[in-house]
Amino acid sequence: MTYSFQFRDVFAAWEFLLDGLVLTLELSLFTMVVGLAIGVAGAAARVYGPPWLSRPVAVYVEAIRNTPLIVQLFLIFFGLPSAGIKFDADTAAFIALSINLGAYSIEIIRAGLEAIPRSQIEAGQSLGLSGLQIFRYVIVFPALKTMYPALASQFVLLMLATSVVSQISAQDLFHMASIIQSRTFRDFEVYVVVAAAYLALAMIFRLLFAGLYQLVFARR
Amino acid sequence: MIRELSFIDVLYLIAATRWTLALTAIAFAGGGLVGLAVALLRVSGLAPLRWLGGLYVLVVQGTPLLAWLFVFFFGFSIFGITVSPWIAAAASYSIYAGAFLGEIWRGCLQAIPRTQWEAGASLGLGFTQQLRYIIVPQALRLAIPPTVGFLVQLIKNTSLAAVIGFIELTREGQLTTATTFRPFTVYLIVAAIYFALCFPLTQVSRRLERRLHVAR
Amino acid sequence: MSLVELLDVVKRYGRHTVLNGVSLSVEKGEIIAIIGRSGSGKSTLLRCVNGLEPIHGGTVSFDGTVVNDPATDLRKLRQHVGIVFQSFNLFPHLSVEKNITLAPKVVKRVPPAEARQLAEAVLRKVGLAEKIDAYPDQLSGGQQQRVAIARSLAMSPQVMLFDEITSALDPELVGEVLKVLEEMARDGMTMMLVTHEIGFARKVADRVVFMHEGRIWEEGPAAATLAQPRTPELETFLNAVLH
Repeated sequence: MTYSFQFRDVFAAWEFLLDGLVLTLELSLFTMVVGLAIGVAGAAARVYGPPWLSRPVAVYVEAIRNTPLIVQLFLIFFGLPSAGIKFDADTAAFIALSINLGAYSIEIIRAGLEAIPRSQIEAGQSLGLSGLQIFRYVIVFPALKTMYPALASQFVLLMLATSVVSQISAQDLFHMASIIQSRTFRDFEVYVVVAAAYLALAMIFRLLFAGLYQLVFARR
Repeated sequence: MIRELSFIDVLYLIAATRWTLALTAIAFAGGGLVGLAVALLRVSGLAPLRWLGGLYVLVVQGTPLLAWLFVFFFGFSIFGITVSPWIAAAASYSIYAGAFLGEIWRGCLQAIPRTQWEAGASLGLGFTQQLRYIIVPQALRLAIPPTVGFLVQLIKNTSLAAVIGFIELTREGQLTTATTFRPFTVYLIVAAIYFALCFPLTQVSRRLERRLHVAR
Repeated sequence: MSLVELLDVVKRYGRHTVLNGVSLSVEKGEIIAIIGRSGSGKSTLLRCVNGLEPIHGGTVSFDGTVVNDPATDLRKLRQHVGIVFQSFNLFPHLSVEKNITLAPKVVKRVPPAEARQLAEAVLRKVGLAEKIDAYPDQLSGGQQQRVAIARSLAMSPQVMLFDEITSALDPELVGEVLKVLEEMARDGMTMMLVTHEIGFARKVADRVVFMHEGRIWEEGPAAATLAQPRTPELETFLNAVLH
């Protein structure tokens, strides 16, 4: 039996794909911003903070990093309502993804902060700079530069991981695949097309991140 | 019919964990073979081979794991082939793990300084022999901490197999929730079980990493 | 009152006693060379003066202020004590100018225009005026070290500490750095140098301090002490260094 691929049907449903793409992008960008903020604050707490601050952060990081994202998502979307807190799918998605990325970001940024040689800090101290001044002028920029590749990688991984929100029926790009499939019955084609869409997104994100690096960190 | 959440359910959840581990093992085995091939392709002397390995990694690392699961499980059904969740999962995870392990191992191979290769060449060893006797033994040591770290990722990622009906811990959690209507407690237990699996491995990986750095 | 005063200073690292009751006074305008084997405690001694190393016994005073007193504002004190490190420790992401003007602008609130003039002035002193807009990775080791000296000078310290500042340099770059030090000495700067450059110590230092096993083993006028060591340990050390 020969099978004829009918990608045309999938492409005809491009409006669905676009709608899904918009949510995927929104989720990705929002999560990156929030995740980065959590990452910087948490990493600073871990490296420079007192024990009563750094230990809870460590617990948070370990709890998130040693459990699957989908379970975290289900806990927030399906689990919290029984405790009285109800979120709609999109909000639950935002929250779960941000909490998840935040934990990974803390680890990455923490490594960047710890990579700054003690001698740099001593040089700053010896010039009479305060702790905050040293953090701002001596530590932040070189640390960001060191951790940039790992952070960019993590962000791309996150963008791909947003596909999991389809499982709580958030209307992201991946969810749209199921919708198109149910209308066209082109299972194979639709998931291949969607996979290719993610691949294109991933490459665009990588290029943008690389460009940003050149703009901000590369001299000459 | 709603049932009360009981200790038996917890036992069922724990029992389902064996499928999580089984899938992890298969993924690691399959992915290991693929990863080895990818790593060797990427360090080979022939540009087209390197390019091929690079393309594989680029594609797999740029697509969601869910997509592979769906393509294999739902997609192939249109060819008239029924793909069981096991086959779909095994194939998807092997492809996925292969790319990431390949990258990790490539990094380890390339971390061995050029001078080691040169020393081998100067002694008259060919490429395969240099690899076998000089490079790989050293790279192996380097590879253990990140490989163990990836094992943790793998265990967590098996949770996605639930969406194609593969019975493992997360799927069992979904089923238990459906009958007991206690999602919070159930998923908390599920999370705790994953944590119990992953955290010790994470610690092992960290300890190995530290010891490795001290030794160097 | 001496500018820098150490009295019975004791410092331990775990169970190892690095400084075992060290007493030393440095007067304004004096140039002290501290020599000794590695592990004798000489770098640690220097780093106690600006509070980089906490001590376990005795007192360290600068201009009357007790450095190791927890109540002391170390930040204020460090504006008056300059230190140059063996590994330069320039900030790699900042240009030479920004390296030099960071502390004046941020700590002393010097306005930007004035700060740049200050940078130009200190760079002229170390002979690197033309490198003001360069970045550390574009400079040789000797140049980086001279920029590090300029950076410390920009805060107008009353005393300069030098922690083996030529040890990490290629031999041919050492001279340019020592020249800068000689000029600073002529200008009357109070200096404490930990160094291996015995010839430099003999020529430029007023006093030499020989450290051995965490104590000041021998001390005296530079030229005389180095020519006629009184203790066998110093003699052995000098023979080893001047082979």
